[in-house]
Amino acid sequence: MSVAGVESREIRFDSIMTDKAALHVERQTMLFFVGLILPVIAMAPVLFLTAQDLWKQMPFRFFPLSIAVGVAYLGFTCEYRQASRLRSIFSALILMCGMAIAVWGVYFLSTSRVHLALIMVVFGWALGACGGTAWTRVFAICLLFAVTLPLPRGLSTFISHSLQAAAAWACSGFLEAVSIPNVLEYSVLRVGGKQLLVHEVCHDAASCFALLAFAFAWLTYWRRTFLVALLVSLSVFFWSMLGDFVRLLLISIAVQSHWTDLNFGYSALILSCFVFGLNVACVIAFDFSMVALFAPIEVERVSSTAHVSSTAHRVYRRCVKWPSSSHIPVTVGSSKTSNHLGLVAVFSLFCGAIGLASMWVLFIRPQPNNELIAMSRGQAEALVAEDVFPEQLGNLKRINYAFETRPEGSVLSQYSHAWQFDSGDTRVVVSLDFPNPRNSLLNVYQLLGWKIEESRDIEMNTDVPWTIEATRMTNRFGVTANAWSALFNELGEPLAAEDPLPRATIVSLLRGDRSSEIVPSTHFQFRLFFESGKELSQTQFEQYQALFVEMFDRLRQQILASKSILE
Amino acid sequence: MKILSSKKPSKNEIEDPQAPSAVSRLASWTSFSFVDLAGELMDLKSLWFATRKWNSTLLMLPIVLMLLALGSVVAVGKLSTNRSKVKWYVDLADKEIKLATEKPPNTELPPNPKDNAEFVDMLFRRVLQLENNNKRALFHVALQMSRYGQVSAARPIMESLAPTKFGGYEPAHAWVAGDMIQKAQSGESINSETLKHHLKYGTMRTDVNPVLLVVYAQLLQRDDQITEAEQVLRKAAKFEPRLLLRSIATYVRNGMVGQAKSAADLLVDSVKDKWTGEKADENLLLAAQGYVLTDRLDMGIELMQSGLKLRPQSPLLRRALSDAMRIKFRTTLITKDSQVQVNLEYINFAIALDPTNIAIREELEMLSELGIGQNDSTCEALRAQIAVNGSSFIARLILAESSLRGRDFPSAVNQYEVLLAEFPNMTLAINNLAMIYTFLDVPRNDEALSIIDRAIEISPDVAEFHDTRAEVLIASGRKSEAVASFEDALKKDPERENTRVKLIALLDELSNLEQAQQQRDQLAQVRNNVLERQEKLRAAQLGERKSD
Repeated sequence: MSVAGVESREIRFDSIMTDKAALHVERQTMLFFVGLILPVIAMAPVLFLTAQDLWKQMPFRFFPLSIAVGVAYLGFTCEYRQASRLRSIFSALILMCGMAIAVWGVYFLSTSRVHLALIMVVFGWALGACGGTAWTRVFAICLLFAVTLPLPRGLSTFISHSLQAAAAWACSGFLEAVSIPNVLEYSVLRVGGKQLLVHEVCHDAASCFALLAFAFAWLTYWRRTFLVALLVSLSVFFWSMLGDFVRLLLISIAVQSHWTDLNFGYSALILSCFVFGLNVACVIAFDFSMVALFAPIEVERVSSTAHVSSTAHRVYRRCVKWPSSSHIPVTVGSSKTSNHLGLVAVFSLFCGAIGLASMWVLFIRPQPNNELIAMSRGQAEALVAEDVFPEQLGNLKRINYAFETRPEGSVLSQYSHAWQFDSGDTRVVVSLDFPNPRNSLLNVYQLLGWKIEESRDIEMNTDVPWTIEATRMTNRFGVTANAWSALFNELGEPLAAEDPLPRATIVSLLRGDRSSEIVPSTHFQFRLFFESGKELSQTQFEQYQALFVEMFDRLRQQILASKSILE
Repeated sequence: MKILSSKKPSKNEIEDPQAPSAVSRLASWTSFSFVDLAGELMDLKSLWFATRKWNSTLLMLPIVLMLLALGSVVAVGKLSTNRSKVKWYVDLADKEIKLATEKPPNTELPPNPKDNAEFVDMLFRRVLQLENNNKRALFHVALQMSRYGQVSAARPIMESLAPTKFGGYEPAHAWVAGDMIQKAQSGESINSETLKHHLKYGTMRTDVNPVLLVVYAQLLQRDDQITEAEQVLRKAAKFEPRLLLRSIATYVRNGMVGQAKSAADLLVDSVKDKWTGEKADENLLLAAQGYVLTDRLDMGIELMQSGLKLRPQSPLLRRALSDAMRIKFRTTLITKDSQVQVNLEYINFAIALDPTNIAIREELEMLSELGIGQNDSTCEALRAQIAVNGSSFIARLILAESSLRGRDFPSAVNQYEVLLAEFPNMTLAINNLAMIYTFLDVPRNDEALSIIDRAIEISPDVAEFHDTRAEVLIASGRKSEAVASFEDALKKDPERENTRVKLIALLDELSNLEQAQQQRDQLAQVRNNVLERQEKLRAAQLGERKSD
């Protein structure tokens, strides 16, 4: 072979390599924009609403941090190379699934579905773009996005409440062991003359999901094996329960000893930080321990290698090392440049359509009045006067009045005006809860230990079609109680309970079908509660109904008159 | 195309070029025995232990210790027996209940009953969690509900503790009985047999409400269970002797003289050790009332006189004795052959004992109805009595009233002034004198106002004096001030029709038509109330006659 021939082969090889690198960059760029940016932009309007909804949920307020960490990991720790054919196929499939879910979400105006779609799109894109990173690592990074998605059908709440209930149970036992009398009735812990609603006390941003997000970030950073990661992730729930236990214990001891109220203000913030710090320390310590316990058996430390290749050892090694950190083969594409412009164009148009629909959702979906929800304590207190109800109303005598403030996001709502009346035979409690009572009446009373026997809607005999949600309950003493409520907005208009979102769709809204319109978040809840001992007779029922209507009307009139506070 | 592979062998892994193939591995599995597996696992275990970096696990040590400490305390709390916990909580509750009735040492503040009750409620709720059939706990929880105003909520719980067919938890029976009595008082109809059943068990305890005992005794009496009723009354007398008076009155009304006397003797026995010290006068009067109700007036008077010797300035005893003398005076009244014979000395005693006793007016009215002081002969007899026995106060009163009727105001003034010289606090005389001062030819209105104000100062709750003051103010031309006095009189006694009529006339005169109309409406209401009461009384009397 002549020197010239050798030189020409080298030059040809170099030019092939340069072409291949350029093609790689081109493919990565196209994948980045088409596979990630376009879908994200298309879903952005709905994602904005998703972010708003998530921010309202205290246990999920960590989501910006989690997403930021995930993006950082994707940006700085992943190797961007073309993925293998099989992986590319999976990537495309997941992308398409994600977009299908996005369509489904936008159609039904569901922020949670769009959120899921985003996660799938990111995962699909990363699987295809980060060809040099193991799929398990990509999956682990995407868990940081997945943990920000509340589980369906209230499962997130169920998990939180279960952990809190277990913590309360343990706390009650601890207090008894140290001779502090207390009683735990369902979700209420009574100690030292104070009632602690467990779910409210433990309801803050330092939730078990925030801790889980931290765990995922930690494990991903240190590239832990699957076994260690699984054990540490599962342990998060135990540490979260421990944190709730410590929180409840400290608050109870403070109450018993008449110290400062650790459940409110800066004390609560400091306590929350301390508990979260404790949880984080536990997670880290547990992680290091698991790493030490489930490390592979190092041959250097073994005197004889005879048993190292046994079946049991091989199985053990496989379990503790998976996924291994071996390098992934580099796949170099063919010299032919594929022309996928047609597919890209179709996909882009598709994303554009979703984007337009999302924009429309952003503007047509009724927004809650942010100013109302952000009402200050002074405004809330001035909204309704104590003497909106006279001293004597029929056979009821007004005996007490209180204005209560609770943490934002409380199950009983942030503000409440409450009046107590005495009929000689029973106490009647009337309250106005606002600005956004998140839980239905039934949930609240169930948390307090009442068993729902019957719940029905009663039409009020007024010009406007008001509906009273009438609930009959019993407690463990066999006492019957009745809780009636009605909902209305700041304009004094009736509201139904918040409809589940899937009932409304873009198509129905386009048709102008107002019956399935998304209702805004509930603003005011008027509530009447009284223990009747036994089931009400028809006469008693009608008497209380008349009383409800009268009181409701008085209150509503005063709120409308206080419009200057609302505006 | 050359595929570049950079699979680095992992550290410490043994490369075994003679590693068995997959087929041979599969074949070896089929001949693998459990003994071999056990051996391999034991080897693995020892290798595992030998190769661990235990230092790395030390980070968990403080957390494990903390968990152990917390867990053990929780375990102690949870594993202790329900019985011991129940005992602890009940002891705590008993201490709190005791504290609630005692003033804490070294503090001027009483314990906060609301906090205390809520704490006790919490303790008993816990007891119920540990022992859901603990009647005492259930009772206290229901009791707290009723104290909180949730009577209708407490009722079913109490009724479950106090069944109607047999005996249950005694305090619950007492509560249900009290509830039934309250319902009866508010007009609801109740089953008296059921009430009796609850009272039977509810009154078995030593700390029962004495009112329940009295009601129970009355029910027993109604059913002719006299012996049982007496036993119950004895029990009631230990707590609240005053309640026996109700029973005595009932016995007397029903002609059960013997039972009435027994109850009265029981009442005297229960208070005779309490005639000195705190509430001595009240206790002595209780006993005296018992005697009086059972027609043993002289014994009652003797008792009160003995008390007055020890405490001569006691207003309570003086009034009571004065009233007793009035009763005694009435017992001396004999009417024979259209002639009336009466001993006025007792009424003199009544006046002397308590000159502020306005009720003596009733005796004056009675004497006037009998014709005493209505004609010259009786007046002469009274004057003769004064001449002989200078301090015949009742005679002067009768003569003064006679002069007043005859519009001989100066004579009336003279009599009243003599009486007032003897008894400056004789409110009856003051009241009449104030009226007469305004009738004089030269009215002495200022003096009248001054003395009637003194009468009101002595006895502020007597409506008559306020009425008189209003009349004096009208006579003085101060009509607007008179309205307030009339209103004061009506506050003391809303059923004074005469006063209300005068007030309406005055308001009309002052052109205060709205207030006048209000008073007219109230007058109509008062008249209706009076008529209703009279109807009820007539009906009750009729019912009693029919049952007799």
